[in-house]
Amino acid sequence: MGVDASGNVGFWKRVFSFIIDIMIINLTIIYPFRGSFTKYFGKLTIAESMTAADGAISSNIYAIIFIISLLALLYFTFFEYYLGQSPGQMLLRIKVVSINIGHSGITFWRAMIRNLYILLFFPFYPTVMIIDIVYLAFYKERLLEKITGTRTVHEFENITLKEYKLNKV
Amino acid sequence: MAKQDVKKESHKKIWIMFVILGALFIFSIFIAAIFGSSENTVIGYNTAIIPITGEITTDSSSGLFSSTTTGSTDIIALIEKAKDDPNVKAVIFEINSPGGSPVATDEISQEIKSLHEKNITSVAWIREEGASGAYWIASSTDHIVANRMSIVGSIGVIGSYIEWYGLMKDYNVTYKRLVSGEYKDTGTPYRPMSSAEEAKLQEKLDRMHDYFIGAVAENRNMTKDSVKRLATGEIFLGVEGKDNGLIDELGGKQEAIGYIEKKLNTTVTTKEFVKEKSFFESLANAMNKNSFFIGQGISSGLVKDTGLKITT
Repeated sequence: MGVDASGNVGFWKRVFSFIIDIMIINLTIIYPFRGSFTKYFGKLTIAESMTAADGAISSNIYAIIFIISLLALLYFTFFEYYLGQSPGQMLLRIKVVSINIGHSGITFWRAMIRNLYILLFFPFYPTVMIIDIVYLAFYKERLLEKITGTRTVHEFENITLKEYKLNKV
Repeated sequence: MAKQDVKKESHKKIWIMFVILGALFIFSIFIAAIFGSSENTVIGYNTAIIPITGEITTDSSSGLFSSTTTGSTDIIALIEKAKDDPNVKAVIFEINSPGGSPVATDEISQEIKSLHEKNITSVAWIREEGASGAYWIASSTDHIVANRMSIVGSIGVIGSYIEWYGLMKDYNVTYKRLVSGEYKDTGTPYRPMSSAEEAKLQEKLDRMHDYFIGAVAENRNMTKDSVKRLATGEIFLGVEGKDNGLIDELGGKQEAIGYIEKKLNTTVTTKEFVKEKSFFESLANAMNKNSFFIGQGISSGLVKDTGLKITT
């Protein structure tokens, strides 16, 4: 759980905060769809239905996965835009900043783009995720962070939301 | 930064956090409701469930807040869909209807019988009521399951109507009869019915009644006389229907599935076959459902029981 000279957060701390966020997403976003899952997948598991004899996953299943992914993306985007950190990051005292100005916040679009890997529906998702993880292992930052000019750093000091907003780039 | 400011900011953060989580949660519920109300896609199903609710007509009509009738055209299309689907080995007709048009009823009944051509088992699962035309439809299936308190039977034909001519006379409104053909305006509520007209209409009702009795007798493997004894228009509770042979089994969905599993020696996975709705119809349906339950919640808090109400 180390911190490098630039203040970037290590791999495992990111993983733990992500797991906490996924648990919250599970309760707030995925849970309401439990009825739809039962209805659409019947008695089969998701894996079984993916390889069902008719060879095609229904458009409804695609739509549900896409909507859940989209809402998960909005979850990270809203939290990182408004608060600079998701609940998981909040618990582990890490936050997202722009590299341009020290503890400044990030714009809405930067917040969205840096979390695009959440969109499972995107056909290029596995590639993006693998590249993102490999990049993180080597450079202590994700590729999408590099692209958007953002960092995930330790929350060393307390700043007010007002200050945070004023410094937003 | 002052300690008080930090505390204030901390509260603000928590507040924003709950707003975001709440908004996402509500939005998820709303979207899930839309999918819940749209046609389902079950993989690995072998039994179709076709609901028949409300009055049976030849063409269905939908109100703003609910579908008010079941159209034979729609039901026939769904049966055809089940027949063409190689996965479907059985069809459960979920019936909750007081009956309706004799023609629509007969159309659905004939279509159900055609399931035999494809070797598809049919079961009627009667819920609140499967009366009159709805019972005719149920009798066309291989097996009828109903709750002990369901209303079944009502084998009869009704053509009663209100005659307005007395009221019109009070207001000095007259009916100018212009017809070519003696019986062209038979059944108009604006003049009294003649005895000849009444006899002719009664003859037609009796003939329809006879068709109804004949159909039930044939479908249920009963003698025409034994059906005739029950065909007084009387309604029967499910338990009475079981005793006099109008239904086969007391129970509900599980019993209907149990019959199919036993007959086909397989595990049943059901899929509801309903008329496909557009996205906007699904959206409206979800809004209706949510509005109904919100309204029900408010009204139940405001309204107290004021009249006769039969409940269990």
